[in-house]
Amino acid sequence: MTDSLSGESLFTEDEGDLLGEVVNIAMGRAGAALAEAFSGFVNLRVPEIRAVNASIIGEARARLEHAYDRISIMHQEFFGELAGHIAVIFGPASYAALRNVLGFDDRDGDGRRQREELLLELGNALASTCVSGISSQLEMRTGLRAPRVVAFDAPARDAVQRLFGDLPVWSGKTLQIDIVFHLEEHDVPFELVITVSPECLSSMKRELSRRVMG
Amino acid sequence: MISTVLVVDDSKMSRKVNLALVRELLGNEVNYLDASGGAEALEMLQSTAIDLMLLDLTMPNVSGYDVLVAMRKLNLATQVIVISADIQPAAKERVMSLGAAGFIEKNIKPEVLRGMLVKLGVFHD
Repeated sequence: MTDSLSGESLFTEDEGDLLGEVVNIAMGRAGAALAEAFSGFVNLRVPEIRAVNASIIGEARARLEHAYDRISIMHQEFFGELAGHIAVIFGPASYAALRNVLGFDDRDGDGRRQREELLLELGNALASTCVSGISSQLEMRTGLRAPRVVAFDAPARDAVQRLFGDLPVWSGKTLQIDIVFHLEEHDVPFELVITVSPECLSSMKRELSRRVMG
Repeated sequence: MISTVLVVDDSKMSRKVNLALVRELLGNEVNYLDASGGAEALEMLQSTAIDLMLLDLTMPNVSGYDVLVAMRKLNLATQVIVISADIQPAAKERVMSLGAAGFIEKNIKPEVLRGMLVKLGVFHD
């Protein structure tokens, strides 16, 4: 079950609007990092931000399973005043683009380990840029734990099961932010799903409100 | 001499901030308009003589890029300053090649806007 951001009592319309701009700016920084890594152009779309019932994750699972046959997922927790987790979703095409652009040859040796390291490196750069971009603008301290690959080139259903099976069980409303970077020359998406812990929402609302009033 | 300024952004807060900043510099003699999306902006550009537009890029449906492309086709001569969170160097190059007169990164800083308006000759210290 999802709600528009201000549809319920999570944020006012102005607070939701401001959060959209905060995420937009963080996304812009991450997009620039991705563009630099690929020496290409990244099309940015308006991020989707919505209040979700933390106990209902079926919708996110169904969407990912529908969008991809096989995926790799990098997962990273963030903690502190701004806490939650972030998943970076790589479809097969996005990995192939990564290999082509970087001239990476993983056919010899321990290819899987090299590939996983590559996903970790890029995923970590995107995740940390987005999370730190949001936390710095809202002046909410945060730290990132080590990233990990929860699924590598696995059937989407299994990968999603692993991701959501490992996540903490929350209750109440939380905030989900979906960001899609589209690498223009290769026509492939890189998708980030950020979920903010329900415990942080009152602090986030306070910071947003302060800026709206200011 | 600037008589009408249009501020385009899908964020209400950004429109409010950008309108306040440009009003602070250009004063109350100028007519200020705002639009919440690219389609609305294009309608206003065709119905009203607009001298200067502050344009966001990442907007739903009709983006800032779409607006610039349409303006070129329609031969609209409004000066455009793009104000965007899309900070890729290629984004700046792309909007300039589409006819924008300037590019400013979000969050917009008053002194940067001031410098841009001076550079474009629409504000004098």
